[in-house]
Order: sequence, then C-alpha cells, then structure tokens
Amino acid sequence: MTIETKQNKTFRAFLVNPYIIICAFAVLEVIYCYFTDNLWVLRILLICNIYALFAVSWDLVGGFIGQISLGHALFFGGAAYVSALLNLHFGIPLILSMISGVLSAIIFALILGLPTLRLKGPYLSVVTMITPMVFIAIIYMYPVALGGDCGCTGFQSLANGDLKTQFFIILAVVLISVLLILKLTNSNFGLILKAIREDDFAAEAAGLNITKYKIINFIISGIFAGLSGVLFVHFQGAVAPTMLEMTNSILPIMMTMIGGIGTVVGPIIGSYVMTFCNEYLVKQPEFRIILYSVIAILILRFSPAGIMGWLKKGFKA
Amino acid sequence: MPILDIKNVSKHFHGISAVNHISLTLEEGEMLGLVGPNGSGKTTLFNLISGFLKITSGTIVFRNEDITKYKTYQRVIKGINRTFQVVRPFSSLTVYENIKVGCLSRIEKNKIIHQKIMSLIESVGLKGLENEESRNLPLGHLKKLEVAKALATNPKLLLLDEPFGGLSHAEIAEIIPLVKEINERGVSVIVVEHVMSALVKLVEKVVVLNFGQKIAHGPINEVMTEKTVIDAYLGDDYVENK
Repeated sequence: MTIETKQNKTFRAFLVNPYIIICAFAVLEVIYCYFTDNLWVLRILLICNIYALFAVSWDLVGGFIGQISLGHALFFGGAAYVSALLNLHFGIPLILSMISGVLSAIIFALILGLPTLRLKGPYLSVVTMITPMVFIAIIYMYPVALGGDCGCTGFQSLANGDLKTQFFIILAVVLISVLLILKLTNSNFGLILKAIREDDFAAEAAGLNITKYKIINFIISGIFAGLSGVLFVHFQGAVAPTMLEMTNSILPIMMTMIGGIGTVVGPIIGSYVMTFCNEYLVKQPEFRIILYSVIAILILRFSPAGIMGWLKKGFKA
Repeated sequence: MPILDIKNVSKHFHGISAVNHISLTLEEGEMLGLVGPNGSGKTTLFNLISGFLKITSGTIVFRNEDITKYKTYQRVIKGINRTFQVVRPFSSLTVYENIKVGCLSRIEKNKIIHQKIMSLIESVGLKGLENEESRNLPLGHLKKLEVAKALATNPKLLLLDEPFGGLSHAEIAEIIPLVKEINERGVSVIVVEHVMSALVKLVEKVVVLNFGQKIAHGPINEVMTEKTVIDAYLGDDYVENK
C-alpha cells in the first residue's frame, strides 16, 4: 500500500515535471509534423511555438521578479525590424541579420531597464508601455526607410519559405531556448530572482545587488523576446508596426496568466490556448476579445495560478 | 580595536529628527544592548548602520573603513548584517532556500554552500524543517530563520532587531543561548530589545536612546538604575517589580 502510494506520488511528480511536459510537447509536434499534410494546423503550431517563447520571456520578468513589463512588443517588434531591415537594405546574410536583431534587444533592454529598474514602483510598467509607441511614431516618420504604415516585405524568409523546414528549425530554436530558460530559473540565479520577487528589501539584506540582477534578467528576457520576434518575421516574410502595438505586449501577459505565472511551462500552455483561439476566431475579432475576457475572469476566479496551478493541484490530490 | 565607530550620526525626515548626533563605538566581539521607548530611533539607527537609510550627517566606520556611502549589499559583503523586527522571510521559498539566498552573496561552490546551510539549520534548531515553505512556520521558527539568513552572509557584526518580540518564554529561552553562541564565535552583536529580563542575560553594556538622542551608555545594571532612563523608558513599575 505504502509502496503503491509512493509510486503514484513519483508518477504524478513526473507528469508535472516541466522538462517532461516541454519535451512531450516537442515530441508530439515532431510526430504530428512528420505525418500530417494539414499545413494550416502546422502553421498554427509554428506560431504557437514562437509565441510560447515570447510569453516565457515575459514570464522571466513578470513571474520571476514581479516587475510588470507592458511593452515587451518592443523587443519582439524592435528586433524583428532590425533583422528585416538589415537583410533588406544592407544585404546582410539572414543568419547575421537575425543575430543582429537579437543583439539589438540587449540595447532596448538597457535603454528601458537601466533608468527604471533602479527604482521601486511602477516606473518599468509606464516606460515600457510608452516606448513602443515612440518606435511606432519613428516608423511612421520615415516611411521610405522603415516602411511606414504598411511595413516591409522582400527580405529573406527562413528555409526559403518551406513550411515544414521552417517548423523544425523554429521548434528546435524554441525548445533549446525554453530549456535554457528553465535551467536558468532552476539555478542559483533563478533562486535570487524569486527572492527579489518575494521581498526585494530582504534580498538586499542578504547581500544581493538587486538592481544588477534585475537588469541582467531584463536583458535575458529581452534577448528571448527578440529571438521570438526575429523568428516570427522571417517566417512571416513581412514586418509591420502592428508587431510593436500594445495588443502584442498584452498577448504574452494574457498567455502567462492563463497558463500560470512564474512557471515557464504555464506560458507555453497559455500560448497554445490563445493562439488556437485566435486562429479559430479570426473572422470574429469582437467575439475573440469577449472570450479572452471571460477566460481571464474564470482563471482569476477559479485558478489564479493558471492552468499549471490547477494541474499541479489536480496531480497532488 | 573598535569594529564599529559611529561618529556624530544624524537622520532627519523632512525636518523631523529621528536620530540626533549619536556617537557610538563597538569593540570586536562585544555584545551591546540598544534600548529606548518606541520611536526613540533604535530601528532608524539600525537602518543607518545597515545602509537601508542614508544618513543626513556624520560618518560610520566599520573595521577602519568609512562605509558611510556604501550601499546595503556592499555593507553585507563587508560583514554587517541584520535581522528585522517584523520578520521578512521569502515566503514561498523553503527554509533551505531562504538560507541559501544569503549564501549567494559570495561566490562559493555549491557543495560548500550545502554544508554551510545544513550546519546553520542545525545550529539554529530548524533541523527537519529544511524543505518546509517558510510561510508555514510559526513565529518562533521564523525568528530563528531570520538569524540563520543573516548568519549565511558570514557577518562580523550582527544587528538583531527585537529577536524576542512576540515570543513565549520557552521560545525566548531557546534563542538566548543561540545569540550567546553566535557572539562566542567572534561575531559582534548589537541587540535592540524591549524584553529586559532577556536582555540582562545577554549583554553587559547598554545604550539608551530617547527622542533620537543617546541619554545613557554603560554597564546594564548601572544604566537601568539611572533616573533619566527610568523616567524616559523603564518607568517606576519596572523598578518596583524588580
């Protein structure tokens, strides 16, 4: 009896192990992709993966140090623009322009993080909310170079636009990135982040330079958000100011909230839920907003820790 | 050689003087009591020493180094740490993780950190609770955890802010030997405390503050009989009961 209970417990712990969940997702997707001819579902799965990385990157800031960034679209869209424009206007090879795009996210993170993360209070939220709007204004001001309202096309796509190859490349990059983030959050660095989230005053009393850790974490988050933007733009083959809009900043927050904040796996689940809802309801945008609101209210009411919290609770019982 | 030398330190909050020209020295390995009525500036002085507040004027010298402009974490690395009057555990973290956070201010190997944490858990009397989330602990255990968290940073000077506040007699009796043991290991200690019966068992010298000023300093048994101290802090009842 005791052995059985112990075995059950181990099995349940195994089922909610984040590494197992993430790898299971990846394996199922690879199998599906290998056998399917349904390119529509494949395309949605690909977008799910990109948004999963975007949401996980937001979770690093929102879930692990408790700082609410309302402008993660800046990393997503900003890195996408840098990569696309370098490739389009200067002919820089795809891989180099993508790396440049991701590196530009570090600069964005420093611009936003250095002045705001030293302070306590809502400064990061306010500054991150405003900055993408400034970038959109700049894009409108220079339509020839930056594409203006319509954005830009004509730059190189990943794998020359072959969807299946694109799918495998993006899945591999996202999988490695998410596993790296998971490793990071389970390391001593992750413990420091959690301590800062719990009580930054006490974390400082423990001898930690909390500003340094907040900025490093913000840069890491920016890098992965930028990476997701770069993958998206070279899959889509077009870049537009909508990538920098507020809705794109709210999206990872919603995904994280639905999936479970501060969990890494939660935002991935949330991204699947929301991306599939988005695609199925693409012709009814008003209904989509109502559905998101209802989901958010239900989650907050019945499982504030999101789907992941609900799963953990279920498997513990 | 004094480990801590506070010279003429003042702190004003928008014209209100919380600490007023206080000077104080603490010898290496000494344990000092800091008492006074509520609002007398004890915790403010702790905040000034630990760097949570910037001083308005004066200097703080720690081990012959002027640390007045140092930030909190820099002072911790130099060897000053503190506990809080209202305990501040990292609630969702386990006892083990709470202590580990303190160890991470220094670069040490994980194996050494693990040994250090387990030894601290044992020395403060929290053995068997290492995997318990700190939010589930009673106040007595949280006070011990607070001490363990501070010790994890290897302090040379430990500031204990009301370590006995809110505890039962039995719990106080457990913490007194713990504080003595820490002091015997060579850590200088300043204790802010209102539970005088416990304080007399711990310290030989005491400083009394009132309205941000030092009104008495000396051996505890002598200071506690001074009229100014009785009038400002202890009250006639204390003397009569004694």
